[in-house]
Amino acid sequence: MIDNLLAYGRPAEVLLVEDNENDAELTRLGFQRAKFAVHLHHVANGEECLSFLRKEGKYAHVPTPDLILLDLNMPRMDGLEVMEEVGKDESLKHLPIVVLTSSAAEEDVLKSYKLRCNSYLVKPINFDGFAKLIQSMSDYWFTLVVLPPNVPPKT
Amino acid sequence: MTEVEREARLYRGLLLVVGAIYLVWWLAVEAILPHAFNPFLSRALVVLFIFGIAGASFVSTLIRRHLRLLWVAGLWLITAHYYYLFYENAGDVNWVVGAFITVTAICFGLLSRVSLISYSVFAGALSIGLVILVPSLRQSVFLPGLATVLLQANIGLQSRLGVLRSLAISNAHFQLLFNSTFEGILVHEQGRIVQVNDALLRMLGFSRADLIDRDVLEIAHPDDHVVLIEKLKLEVMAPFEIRGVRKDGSAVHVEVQGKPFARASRRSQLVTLQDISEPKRQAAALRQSNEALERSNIDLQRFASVASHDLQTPLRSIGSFVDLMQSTYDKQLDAQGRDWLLRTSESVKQLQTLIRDLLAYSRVDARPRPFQKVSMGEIVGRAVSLLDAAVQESSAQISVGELPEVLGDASQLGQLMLNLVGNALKYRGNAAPRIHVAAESKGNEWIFSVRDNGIGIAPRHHERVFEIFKRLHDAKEYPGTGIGLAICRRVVGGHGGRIWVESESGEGSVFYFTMAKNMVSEG
Repeated sequence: MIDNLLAYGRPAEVLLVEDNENDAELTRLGFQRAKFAVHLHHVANGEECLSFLRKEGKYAHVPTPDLILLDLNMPRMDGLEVMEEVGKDESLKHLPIVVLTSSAAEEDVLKSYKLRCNSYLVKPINFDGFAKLIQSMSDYWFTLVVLPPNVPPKT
Repeated sequence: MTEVEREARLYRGLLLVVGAIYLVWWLAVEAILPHAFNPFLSRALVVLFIFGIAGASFVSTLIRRHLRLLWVAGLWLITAHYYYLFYENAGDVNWVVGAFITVTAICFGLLSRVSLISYSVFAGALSIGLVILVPSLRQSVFLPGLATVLLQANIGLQSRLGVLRSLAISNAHFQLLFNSTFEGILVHEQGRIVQVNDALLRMLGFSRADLIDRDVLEIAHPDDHVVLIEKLKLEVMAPFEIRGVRKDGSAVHVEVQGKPFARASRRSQLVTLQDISEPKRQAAALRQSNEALERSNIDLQRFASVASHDLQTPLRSIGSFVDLMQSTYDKQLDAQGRDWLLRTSESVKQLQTLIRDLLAYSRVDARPRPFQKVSMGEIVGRAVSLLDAAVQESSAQISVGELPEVLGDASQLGQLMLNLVGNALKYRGNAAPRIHVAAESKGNEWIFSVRDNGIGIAPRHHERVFEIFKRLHDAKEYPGTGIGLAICRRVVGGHGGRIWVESESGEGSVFYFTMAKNMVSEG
């Protein structure tokens, strides 16, 4: 099967912000199952996420992601703080953010939407659920949705 | 008014009365006996002396203090003067009568035993002296007259002493009463303390002398002076709390009230003080332990929530990787391997359910959100429709009686009814479930009931079923973690109600819970 490409004819750039290695691995496997051509970049906390987005230090040559998958509970800087920072940054605030977290607490959901996340997903408790979730999410974001224009970085 | 002042007023009055009698008699004798020996100067001197002392007592503190002594001296002077006049007029009967009247008046004015005795000795000596010096007086009525006068003086004194004694007794009664109260009492005149009782002295550790004539502010805590000054302006002080100061400087919480107190036409106020340190300390201790309890409750809740949340994360990983193993390496495994993986994945699911329920339980806040008016009819309707699948499957009949509105948290009450009706469906017997939800009014609360014809609960388990993770059945018979009724109890408890079950094994059960009727809405 040919992996789906974005409308631009290139794989989607996805930034996964996730402190839990297992969940990162499961997400990676989920994308594999979903058969979407995705470049999955992984950072482990909010601070690194911002460095990645601003292309600071070792992230000088990374692409701008088409979609950010953001966990909420993370050390150093959590997901809510990331959304706050991104919202304040004129050059970043257009980036779609999907919250992917284990917390189903109403409080977290409400806070995330107040910070203008684009959708809020709760991690399913088993891998089948996880795979389905990634599949649906990819279908939606990479085929239906018109993403903001994203110029690939000049090398 | 002090003792000296009281005495001064009395003796001043007596001096004026006796002086007046003396003066009147003088003028009368002038009119009746124009030719008698009646020296103007000596009489004027005596009158001047008597009125002079009375007058001077108004201005001189020294004279006021020794007025009793001067009074007795005045009496002696009058008596001596009469004897002198009597002697000069050589037994004139008019003079005997005059002396008799005046001296009787004087004798009735003798106010203590000492003054009576000293006066008797003086008058006796004077009489005997005159009888010896002037033998002609023996024929007169002088000596019997003197005896009568002294007898009358004694009667006057005795009756006065009797009045004093009964006054003393009633005063002692009053003092006993005044000092036996549990409350501290003080009387003040414009802030100056004039009287205190023993209870107050005990409360504050002062002696009476420490407090009399002092300012009431001195026994109030400096920080409360402003409040007290404001309160003292009022005629009637409604009960209020204030801190008093003991002699050792420590503070004591007192409840104070006051009202006007009639006292010799001065503006005084009676103030009672009640030591409320102990109840106050108890209230503080209670508040503290309440706060500690609340803190530990919150801690516990946070712990449950965090623990179950943090437990979920690795468990989800285990579950997911076991899933992956099953789906990816199914063919490489033999039957044994597949069985073990299946067992692992079952256990993970079980543990996940437990943790999810624990999380749900910990989220039922012991103190629910602001209460709103909730229609229990709608709540039950919604719960039943959520259970529609189970109702259809078991062909259950659910009837709902007239249900009132209550004040509560709609989502928690929804959870409550869902659990109770859900249980009634779940623990069914062989027959199709028949469930009846009703409410009845009793006193100021509603008693809700959920009645079923299910398997029932033996009475010895009636308490246990509400405990968290306590189950009566094998998970194979009736799946579940034992959290439902624990949540119910928490919800009902949070709404200030009680929950209990009445049931016999095999004869269905009735779950009851209460809701207050007139709870005050907080939001």
